[in-house]
Amino acid sequence: MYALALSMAITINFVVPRLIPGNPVQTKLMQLYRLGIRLGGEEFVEKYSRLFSLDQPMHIQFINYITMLSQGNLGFSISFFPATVQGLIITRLPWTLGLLGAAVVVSFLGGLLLGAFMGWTKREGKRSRLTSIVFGASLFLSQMPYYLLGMMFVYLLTYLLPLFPYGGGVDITVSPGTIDYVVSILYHATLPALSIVLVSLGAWAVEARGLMVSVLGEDYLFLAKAKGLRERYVFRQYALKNTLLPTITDLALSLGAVTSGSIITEIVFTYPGIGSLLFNAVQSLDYPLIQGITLIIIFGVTTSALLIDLIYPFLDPRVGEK
Amino acid sequence: MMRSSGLPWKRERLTARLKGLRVVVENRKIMAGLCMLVGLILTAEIGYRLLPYDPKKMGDVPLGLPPSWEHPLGTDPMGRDLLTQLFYGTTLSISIGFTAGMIAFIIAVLIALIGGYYGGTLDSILNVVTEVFITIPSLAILILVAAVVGRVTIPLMSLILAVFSWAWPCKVMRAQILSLKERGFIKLAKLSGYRGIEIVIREIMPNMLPFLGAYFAIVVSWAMIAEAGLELIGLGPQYTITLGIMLNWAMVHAAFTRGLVNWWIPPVIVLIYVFLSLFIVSMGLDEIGNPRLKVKG
Repeated sequence: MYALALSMAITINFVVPRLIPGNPVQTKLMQLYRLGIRLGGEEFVEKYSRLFSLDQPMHIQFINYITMLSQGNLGFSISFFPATVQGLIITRLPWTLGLLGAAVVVSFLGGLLLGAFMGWTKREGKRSRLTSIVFGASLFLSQMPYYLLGMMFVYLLTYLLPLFPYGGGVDITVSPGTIDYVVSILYHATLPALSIVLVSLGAWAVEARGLMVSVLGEDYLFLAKAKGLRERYVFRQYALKNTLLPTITDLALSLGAVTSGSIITEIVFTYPGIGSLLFNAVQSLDYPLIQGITLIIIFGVTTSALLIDLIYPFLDPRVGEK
Repeated sequence: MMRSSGLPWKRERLTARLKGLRVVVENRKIMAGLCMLVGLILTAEIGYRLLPYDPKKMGDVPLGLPPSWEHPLGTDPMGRDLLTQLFYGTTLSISIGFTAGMIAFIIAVLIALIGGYYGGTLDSILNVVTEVFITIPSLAILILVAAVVGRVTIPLMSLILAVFSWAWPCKVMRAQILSLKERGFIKLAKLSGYRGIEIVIREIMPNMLPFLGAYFAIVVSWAMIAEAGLELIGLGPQYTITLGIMLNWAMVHAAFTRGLVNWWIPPVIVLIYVFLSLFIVSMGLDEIGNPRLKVKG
C-alpha cells in the first residue's frame, strides 16, 4: 500500500510538470526573465536539459529520473542556482523533523490521555461539568486549521504581548553548541509547535473519548470490577489499553494531514523548515526545488506511516495472530 | 392504515418523507448552523452591493487608511476597501468551498457505493486507491499542481481541491455501507428479488442520508480549510479576492507584526465562523443518523 502511494507520488511528480508544452527549464527562465531576474541563460538551459535528459523520449526520461532519485540526486535549484535541491533540503530538514516530530508525539499522547479521561468520567452515567467544557473546547479546536491558530498566536504573543520571538528558528546572536542555543531553539519552536499541538490534541481527545465510551460497555470491564480491582487499576490496565491501541493505525493515516498543516504553519511563523523553503520556491517559481520538496515530504510521510504499521503488531498481539 | 382514494403507498411514502424533513427542521443544531451560514452569505451579498467600491481595483480608494465611517475596516496599501474585499471574498470562498466539496462528495459516494456494495476485486482496488489518497499529504500535491499550472482559475481551484479531499469521507462511507449490508432489511430486499441498483437507491441511500449530509458539511469545511491554506501561501486563483487571498496580502505586507488588525482579523473571524456553522450542522445531522448520541449528550 505505502509502496504504491510512494510510486504514485513519484509518477505524479514526474508527469505533472511535463504536461506543460515546451521545455520547462526554458519556460521558467523566460518567466523569471520577464520578472527581471537573469540567470545562467543558454548554458544553464543546456546543462539542465542534459541533466534531466529532456531531449529524450518520455520512457527514457522516466528511467533516468528514477535512477537519479535512487541515487538521492534531486537536481539543481533555479533560484539558488549552484546549490543542489538535496543540499537545500538537508539544511532545512532537521527543523521540520524536530518541530513536527515533537508536535505529533505530544499531541497524540496528550490528546489520547485527555480523551480517555473524559470518556472514563462517563462511566455509570456520571456527568461532569468540567469534562463537558473540556470536550467542547476540544471539539472546537479540532475544527480549526493550524494556520489560523498560528496567526492568532503571532499577533497575541509576539506583537501585543511580546513573550515569544517571531520568525526564524534560533537567535542568530547565540553561538551554536551552547546551552543557550538549545534554549533559543526551543523558545522559537514553542508557538509554531503549540498551534499544531492544540489542534491535533483536540482531535485526538475527541476520538479517544468516543473509543473510551464504547469500551465502557465491554464485559471485561464489568468482570474486572466484579473481581474487586481498584478503579485506577481497571482504568490503566483494562480500559486505557483497549482505548489506545486502535488509534495507532489512525496515527499512521493522519500523518499526511498533519504534515500538510505544518507546512502552512511554518510559513506563517517563517520557521526555517521545509515548509518555508517550499514557500520561497513557489514564490520564485523554482520548480525543481518544489518537486524535490514535495517528494521528500511524501516520502517522509509514507515511510513513517509504514513504520507505524510495522510496529503495530508488536504493540497489539491480537493483530499478529490473525 | 386508513383507506383512501389514489395510491395509498405513494401517500405513505410522501408522509414518511415529510416526517424526515420535520426531523431535520426540528433539530436545533442543524437549523442554527444553516441560519448562521445563510445569514453570513446574505450579509456578504447585500453588503457587497451596497458598498460603492471595487474589491479588486487597486488605487480605487486612498491607500492604507485606518478604519473610519467611510471605510469601516480601512483600506489596504494598494488602495482597496477592506470591507468590500471581505464581503466579496466571503461569497467567493464559500462558493469555491461548496463546489469543491460537492465534487469531492460525489466522487466519494460513488466510489464508496460501488466498492462497498459490490465488493470483490473492484472493491479491493478502489480501497487501495482511497488509502493511497489518504496517506499522501494532499497539500504537497496541491502545491505542486498549483505551482506548475501557474494561472489557477476558480473552477480549476475547486477541481484541484476536490481531487484531494474525497478520500477520507469515502473510507468512512464505505465502512458504513459494509455494516448496513449485513442488516436484515437489506437481506430481505435481496430475497424479495430487488436488483443491486434498486437496493442501493431504495434501501441503502435513505438509511445513509443523515450520515451523508453530515459528511457533506465536513467535506465542504475541509475543502475550505485547504483552499484558504493554499491561497494564504499565494497559490490560489489570481486577479480576484477570497478570504484566503486577503490573508495572503496581509501576510506579505507583514500585517500581523505591524498591528494592522483591521486587515487580517476579519477574514480569520469569518473563516472560523463558517467552519463552526458547518460543524454545528454536521453535529445535528449526526444526531439524527445516530439517535444514541443525543442520549449520551
